[in-house]
Amino acid sequence: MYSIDYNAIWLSLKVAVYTSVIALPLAVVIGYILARKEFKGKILLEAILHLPMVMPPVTTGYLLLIVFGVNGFIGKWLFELTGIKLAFSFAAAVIASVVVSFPLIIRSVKVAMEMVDANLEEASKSLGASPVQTFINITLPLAWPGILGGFVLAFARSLGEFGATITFAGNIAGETRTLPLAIYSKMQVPGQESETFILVAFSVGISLVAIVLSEYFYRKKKKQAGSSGTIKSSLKKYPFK
Amino acid sequence: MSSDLHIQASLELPGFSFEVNEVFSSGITGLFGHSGAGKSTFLQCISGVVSPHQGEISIGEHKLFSSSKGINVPTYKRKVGYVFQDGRLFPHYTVEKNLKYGTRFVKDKKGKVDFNQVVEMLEISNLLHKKPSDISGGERQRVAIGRALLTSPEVLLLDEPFSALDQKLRKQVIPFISKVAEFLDIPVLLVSHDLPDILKLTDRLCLVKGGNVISHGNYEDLILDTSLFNILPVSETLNVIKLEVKHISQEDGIITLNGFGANRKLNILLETETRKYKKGDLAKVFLKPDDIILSSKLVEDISFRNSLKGSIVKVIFDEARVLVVVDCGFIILAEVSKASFIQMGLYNGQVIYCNFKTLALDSMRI
Repeated sequence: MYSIDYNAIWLSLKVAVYTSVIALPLAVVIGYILARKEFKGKILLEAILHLPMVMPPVTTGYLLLIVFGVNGFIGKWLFELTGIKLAFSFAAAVIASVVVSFPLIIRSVKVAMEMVDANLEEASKSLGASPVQTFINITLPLAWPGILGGFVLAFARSLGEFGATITFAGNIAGETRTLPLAIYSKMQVPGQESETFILVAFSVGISLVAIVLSEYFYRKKKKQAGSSGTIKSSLKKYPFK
Repeated sequence: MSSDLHIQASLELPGFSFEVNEVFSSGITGLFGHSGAGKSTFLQCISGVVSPHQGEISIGEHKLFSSSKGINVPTYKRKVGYVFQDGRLFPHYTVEKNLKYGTRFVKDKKGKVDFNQVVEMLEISNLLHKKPSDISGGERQRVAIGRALLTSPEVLLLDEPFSALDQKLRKQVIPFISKVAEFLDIPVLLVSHDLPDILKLTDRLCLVKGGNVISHGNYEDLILDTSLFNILPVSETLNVIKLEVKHISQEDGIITLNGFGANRKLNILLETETRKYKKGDLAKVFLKPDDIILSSKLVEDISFRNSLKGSIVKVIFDEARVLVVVDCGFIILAEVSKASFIQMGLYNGQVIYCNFKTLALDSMRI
């Protein structure tokens, strides 16, 4: 019989769940700000947030090590204060995964929020709802499918995370050896082609489900946006008439 | 008890300066002007979407904005009902949830507008469980009006509520706005660039041009002081006459309206839409000035059935056209060409007959 590394699959899913749960609320808030507010340095902020998407993950991992490592400027302070070592731990795997998948989720959330007609938010305020009530009652539900889509994408990206994890969290069996790392490790050992293949199959399967779900939410969103309650959705607000 | 809306505001923007100082009391006032005249800025200052650089805005004692006192109440606390030209119903809610959206934010329970009453008045009870995407444009606009009403506003702003509706749908919405204004007894500002639509609802106009109010008063007075013609070409004016139904002839399909003495008689055609008339009803009759033929004597044996006797009180020239203002107990505008004006030798004070076909009249029960 083959010995399948269920532990790696389980660990991967755990990292992915933690990542999505941490990244989602953050992305909702930042995505809303990016979609609705104009401020100085917005382009720079967006660029920095999106950097991990284009940067080699190993670079991201290295930078994380510099920041959160025991000698890093946050890591050192944290270690001296609490004795917690972030690097090469399960938490590190989650941090690496959050940073790498954040651009995906933020992009998706931002686009979803931008698709919500700002005029509906204005209408909500004219009916007595505060900005927070408007956000909860109007913006969030209308952007929800897009937000869920982003969540699924981030989940999938985090399952595939390799470079930043191995650099920042290491390849510790049972703690940071996620599915991709397990595949990589198996590949290094001759005669484990079958085990490798099974893990690869799992990886492909999970990714496929995630992408299909994400597409499903996106279509649902589009359908909803198409049946807006406005008479002419294209009739934008002319500020001065 | 309704409160007046006071607005004194000035706003400087690149290429546009806006400065107004007006008071609006209970009832509908039409804000009339071209695109870009500042009508929407007007409403946006009141609703709080735009803040004037300087000014004071208040509803009765309730101050919404004051640059001197540093007050700027946010939109959601202003109690200003806003009906947008595109309805802006929330697509993820049913009609009922849309209607009730604002009610939970109403703090002051007294004077609260009743849900069932609004639904009944706007005739939308059969729509409650539908989504906005499943109802017609006219229905959507009625729901939007209802939704704004249910916030128990102190002022109601209607921003081009008909512009996205075709003529048929407009006829569905206009009577409801009339009803709503009567029901609420608050200032209602209706923005439109379509004069006939405004006149169906009110005689009170506020003329906006280049970011300023150039005149504010009764339609008739705005014609007589000619301020209306700063915005509207003479050829686009409309006669609005209010009369009482005196006689209904089922055989001829003709209703006779009367007012201001025995000779001030109008015949209007009895059509499906006007069949609701009863004796004693008040009606608003609309007539285009260029549908009127002036004659210095009473003309008989001719197919038109309406001849109103009056005297010329004012003559307004506009290039090749002349607008003759005739006092028949009420004001009638008749448009003639300059050539025929000269040929007839018309003059102020002259006794004249205004002749027109029954078919040229459009009417509405009020």
